[in-house]
Amino acid sequence: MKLAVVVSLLFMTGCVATPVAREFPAAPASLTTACAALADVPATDKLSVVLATVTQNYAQYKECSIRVDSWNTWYNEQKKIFDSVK
Amino acid sequence: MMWLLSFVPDFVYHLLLVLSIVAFAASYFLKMIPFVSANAEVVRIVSLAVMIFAVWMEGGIANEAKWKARVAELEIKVAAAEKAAVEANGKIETVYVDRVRVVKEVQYVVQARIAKDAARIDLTCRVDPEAIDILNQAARAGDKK
Repeated sequence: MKLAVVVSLLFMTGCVATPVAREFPAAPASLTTACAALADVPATDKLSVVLATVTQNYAQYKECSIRVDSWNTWYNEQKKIFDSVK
Repeated sequence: MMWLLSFVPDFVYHLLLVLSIVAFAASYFLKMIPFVSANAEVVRIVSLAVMIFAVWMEGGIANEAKWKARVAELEIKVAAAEKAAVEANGKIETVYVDRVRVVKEVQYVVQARIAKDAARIDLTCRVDPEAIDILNQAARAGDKK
């Protein structure tokens, strides 16, 4: 019985995995940066100050939106490349 | 059993196969040789066992060669994919940087315009503190605590 186990184990050593290691590529650091919080409007009665803060927040949102778009594009592209190897 | 392929060169199995076939045939045809005729049965059994083992290992060698070719093919594909991934990274990052630069440029223009017209904007409009509170509350909605 013991011999049968040893022999069958020896035969099973033929089944080895294909030694081709692969890693999903790392995303560029610029795309993995977290979006900053929106800026508060300082206490003021001047509309120009309010306007400046609001437009700054718009720009911040746009930048963050571009980052998310780019991240999605990056993931889809990289996945397509990764899956193409078969 | 296939681990033996890593330790023993392939030609040994080819040689074993040829020798076992020769010995097996000899056990039938070379009965004039005293040793063979006296031990024909043993030579036949041993040579048959060796032949089976050698054929098994030949199969292993063929299979190993097939997998090595597959690995080589995959390695080439993986190298090409890694190169394509690096190129895609570069392109996507360039597009990102360009788009962000446009946003910053527009932002700069808008801020300059606000600064230029601040006196006129502030002349006719005073903002109530409540409006500031409402704006800030909206800006902070959903923030991490």
